[in-house]
Amino acid sequence: MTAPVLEVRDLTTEYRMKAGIVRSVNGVSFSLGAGEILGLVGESGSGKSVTGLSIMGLIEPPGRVAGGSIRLQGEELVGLPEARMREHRGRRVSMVFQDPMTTLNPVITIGGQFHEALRAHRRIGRREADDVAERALAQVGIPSPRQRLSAYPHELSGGMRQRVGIAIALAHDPAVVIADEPTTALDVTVQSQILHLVQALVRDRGTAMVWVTHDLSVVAGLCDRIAVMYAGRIVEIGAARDVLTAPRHPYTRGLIASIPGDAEPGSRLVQIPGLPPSPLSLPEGCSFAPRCTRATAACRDVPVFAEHRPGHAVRCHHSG
Amino acid sequence: MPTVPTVPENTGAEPAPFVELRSVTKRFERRMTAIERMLTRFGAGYRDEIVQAVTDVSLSIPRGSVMGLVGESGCGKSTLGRIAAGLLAPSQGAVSADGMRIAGRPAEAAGRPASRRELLRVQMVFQNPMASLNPRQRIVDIVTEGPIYHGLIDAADRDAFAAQLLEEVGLDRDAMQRLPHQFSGGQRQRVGIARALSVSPDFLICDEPVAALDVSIQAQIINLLLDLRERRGLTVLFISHDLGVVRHLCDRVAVMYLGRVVEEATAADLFASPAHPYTWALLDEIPSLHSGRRAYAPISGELPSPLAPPPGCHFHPRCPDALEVCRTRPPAAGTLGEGHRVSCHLAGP
Repeated sequence: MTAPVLEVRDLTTEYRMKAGIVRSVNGVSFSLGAGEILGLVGESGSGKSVTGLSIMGLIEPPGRVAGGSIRLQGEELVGLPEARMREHRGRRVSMVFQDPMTTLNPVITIGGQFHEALRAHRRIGRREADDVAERALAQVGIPSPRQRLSAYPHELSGGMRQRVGIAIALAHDPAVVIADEPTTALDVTVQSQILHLVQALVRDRGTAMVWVTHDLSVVAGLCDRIAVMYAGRIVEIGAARDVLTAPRHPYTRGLIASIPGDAEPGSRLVQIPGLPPSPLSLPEGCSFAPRCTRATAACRDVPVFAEHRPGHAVRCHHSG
Repeated sequence: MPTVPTVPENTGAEPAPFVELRSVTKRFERRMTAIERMLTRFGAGYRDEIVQAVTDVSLSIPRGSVMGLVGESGCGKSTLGRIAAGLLAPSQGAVSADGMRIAGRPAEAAGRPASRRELLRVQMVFQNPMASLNPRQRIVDIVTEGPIYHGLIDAADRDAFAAQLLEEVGLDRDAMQRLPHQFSGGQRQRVGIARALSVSPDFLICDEPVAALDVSIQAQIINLLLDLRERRGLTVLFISHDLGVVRHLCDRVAVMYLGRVVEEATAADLFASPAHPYTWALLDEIPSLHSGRRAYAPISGELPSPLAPPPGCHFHPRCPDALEVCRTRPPAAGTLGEGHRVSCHLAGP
């Protein structure tokens, strides 16, 4: 097996708040090979987006990466000076955000934003930058790309804006792309177009990708592997098919059972009782225990990862 | 207090419609100002802008049933919901519930106009409870303001009434004194539902009530809606873009595309044998846990601008099987079997 492109070990990201320290990401580990798509799944507040931002080096005070390591093609990113990180960001690791309306600059044309992204990492003339941008836009399926260069973000539809976001993220052919819920704001038909596009681009270029989402059914068709996060920790990780068809963690099981897809219409859906814990007062031991039907005294200790079968690991005392 | 209707037994016969939307059309217009009109005469490019948000939609919802309304953003489903709730006046057509006119001009509607008190029987639950609840109002006031104002309950009974209502939607008594921001999204949506129920409606319009919620919380709210429907015999118009949720919750489903209903059938029929190419496409693209790693085959294009809808059948530019006639003539609604309507030139019985 080739060396992983991205290797995250025991990543811990904290926010120092007046009310106390919030550990949004608590010892997250995973690795990613070239051309592989990892689905990072969790509900709001589970730490999935903060994990993505930590890899990008975009955690701002009061937050900080408090521990662990992030290796990009062997190079350690944690503790890298900002100037060095800027050389990597956008070039070797880039990000697609959820809402392209808020991440694209509303007063700069699409072409202008491309120039900015391209000039950040290479010397390039205006004309050449336009050519590069035109090719990139054509690649993500934007009709008449040359004309679009002089359009402003508000003149494009949501789906088209997200295509621009993807094109800019891929402009320097990065090794790793972090995609933070890029299709959540889109309609199903457009979402399907974007998933199709991303799948093709990743396969062609061998880009490694982390797809952050709350929607298990989206990652089902897209990802090779899935990591499920709860209260800052990965609780289950494995091949997409294993996690979806034979989930071992009670939380993953609950999530899958609560999707209306398979249930008899009109029947009561399986629901996970209670609410996710407040990040300021996480329960001792297993964070899921208070909502878990199988919790016992053993759950007062934090469960360690147990590899259930090769590549499928679960953090639960009762997964056997 | 208005009485809660009983759910009729399923006799097999077509139940009488409880809510009826008749040929509802809504246009939003922005006319040129006098100055723009003058400038246009000198060659400036202003024009009147007319968006036809809803075109000739007729739906009837039997008492005690749930009608799903699905479509992409911009298809007019929320506008139609607001018209059904009496929040927006239709440009043409009318809405009636239980023989009372909710919206529309007298000439177009059957029945007498609903009094203000009777209009309380129609209530709405909104998508984003953070935006639809007053952030400075305590929960107890949010859920009792309506019934006290309309004289349905005595101000002295406020706390008891609120406690009972909150219990019905699965909230603790302690919730009463708190403010909306002190709740999670799912709990806030429960408050939104409690507020709608506070005046004992029998027709509820839910506009994407679970779209903003996490998966595990979504299941809790869906179960709550199922319980309430049974307990209160509610008739519901359920607006959603999530076909999985619609399939689970609805008896009948209407699919909208660019302001028109293109297909309407029982949920079972629609999901088993969709007849409109747009419905096929939507059903194909529901991401499913079982799809496995797959090749996506999306339909091309996006929803056209309602400012300049394509001629003929609105769907023809994206339709894989479009014929010449689709480009020129809008299809009429045809019937396929019992209660299955479809507007497509290609869908023959």
